[in-house]
Amino acid sequence: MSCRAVVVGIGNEFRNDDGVGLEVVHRLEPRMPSGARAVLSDGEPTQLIEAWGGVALAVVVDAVTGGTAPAGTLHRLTLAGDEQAWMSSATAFGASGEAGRRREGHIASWHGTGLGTAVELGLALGRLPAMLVVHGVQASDVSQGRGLSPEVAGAVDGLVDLILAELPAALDPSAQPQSGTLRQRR
Amino acid sequence: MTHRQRRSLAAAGLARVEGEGSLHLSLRGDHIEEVRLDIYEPPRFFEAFLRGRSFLEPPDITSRICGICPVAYQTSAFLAIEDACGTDVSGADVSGVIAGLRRLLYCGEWIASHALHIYLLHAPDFLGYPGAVEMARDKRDIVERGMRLRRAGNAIMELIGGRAIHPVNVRVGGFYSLPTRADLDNLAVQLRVALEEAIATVEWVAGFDFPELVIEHEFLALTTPGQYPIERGTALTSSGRQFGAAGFEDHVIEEQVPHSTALHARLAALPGRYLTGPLARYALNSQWLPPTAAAIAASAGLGAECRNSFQSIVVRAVEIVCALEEAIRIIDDYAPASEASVPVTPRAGRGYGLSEAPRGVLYQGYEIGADGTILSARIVPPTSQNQAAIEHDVGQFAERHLDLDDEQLARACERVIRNYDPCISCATHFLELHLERR
Repeated sequence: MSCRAVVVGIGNEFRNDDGVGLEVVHRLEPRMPSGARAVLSDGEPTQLIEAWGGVALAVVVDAVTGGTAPAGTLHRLTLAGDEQAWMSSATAFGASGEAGRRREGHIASWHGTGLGTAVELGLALGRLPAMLVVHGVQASDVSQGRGLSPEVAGAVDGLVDLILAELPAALDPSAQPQSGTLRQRR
Repeated sequence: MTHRQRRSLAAAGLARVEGEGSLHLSLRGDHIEEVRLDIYEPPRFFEAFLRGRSFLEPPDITSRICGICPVAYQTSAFLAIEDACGTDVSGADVSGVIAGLRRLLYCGEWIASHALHIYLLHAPDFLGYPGAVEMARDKRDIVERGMRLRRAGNAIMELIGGRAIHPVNVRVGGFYSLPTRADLDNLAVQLRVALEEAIATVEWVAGFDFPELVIEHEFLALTTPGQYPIERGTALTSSGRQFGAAGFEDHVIEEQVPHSTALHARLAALPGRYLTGPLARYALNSQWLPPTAAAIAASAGLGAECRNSFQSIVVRAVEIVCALEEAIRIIDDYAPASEASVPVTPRAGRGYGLSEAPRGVLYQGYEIGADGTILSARIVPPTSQNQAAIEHDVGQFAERHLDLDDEQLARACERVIRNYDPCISCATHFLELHLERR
């Protein structure tokens, strides 16, 4: 069976809570359904494009900084549709074109420039998944060190279950991806 | 010429991590008052983190320092540990296999790292694009070629290293498992196609217009007579000084400078700055390029050395050809061995390792106890060695372009920084500029 879904964990395990994306993928790996694969990444844009090109669903998990949400808050962003729809959603993590790259104040993922640029480059190269779901976990401590803060560690199990629940629809070839908007959950 | 008495430019966000990399340029009238490249330096954290851990762990742990050049960190680490333990892997029966695969793996990293830098960071500068995204919209085929080259490098790292990001098949003493002949034959097919695309890359970048920026720094590179230096070698300077890994800390002095957490490096015997990286490697080793790389370097107009740092893009492209040529040769010569590694027994002592990361010489030194516990670790990455030279060259270039407005001048300075492919350059096309006028 060809790969129809990919889950990419972005992060750095030596940056405390920034390791959450990798931790989620480690927990998911033994439970991944057939037709889906798990990938670890440091967020470098070409890696992401290689990982998600041509799949029905790409799920990206990354730590998020900025904003006022408490540590451990889950942010979910869905990107699909035409170029305009992709770009309007992708601005949330810094993909807003040349002008946007010079502007301050966007809600930056810890690897925000990487993910935002990956979407823009993927658009330019025609290499995007049919649908991209970004799960951001609000980080508390991204200084150097190993281990997740209790708030972020406490969010991992729920996020793993959430991702496992959304994979089956993408693995069914008859299913159509559905577009969504930014939602925030505690 | 500027009409302002004094102006100050800051390009922040050079690193992915906000506030951990920035460029400050202060000008008074028509001369440079100060150039400061503030870079964040993760190795200091890792040196502390390594103390008290097992002698078998440095290759895995140090590979996490950089997502672009993990093999360089792994290689200098296992060379240093094997040195400390008195193990000469090259003396073992499986030596040819391990040595060959180590070089092959490192070729993969050079190809992937250089392709990323050339196509997605450096080339847009020469073609007038603000970044890779804008260039990809106009020149999709070109960017796709760069992506294929990067993929060829990653394919080597995946097969030999177990995966492209932070390879897991590397250990002190060799590897955990060896590739099959069939796997290598499949890889070679991909690499032969990539070699043609690498040659086309040299021809493409050799046609760019290069601003004048002749550098006069001392060069420092490894040398392995008979081979272009990649995964091992003895340090050599352009004035002829030569030293092994054990002498590195005697010959290279690192000093704290007030504006940066990174240490500035200089050569003990010489005043002034030195440069490591592709220009230094090429100048000190161009005679050891394999035949195809040597021929394409000549046809691209590179002489025995190249001292215009903007042309480093051509040297990197030649080094991709070299790495692919070497990779194909190693695969052709490969004969399977019965063991993937040799045993390494700890003993109290010190050990040192040097290798040529894509961006220059990377040194590691360790002291270990009799039970194999790491007592101290020292890591000197190429970017901190090049910092003084980069600052100097940014200042020199800026001084000649004071007629530019602040934003144009800041962009020009970033171009100079990108010539050196410092680790911070991963994000320099995506940075936000902060201009301060006084």
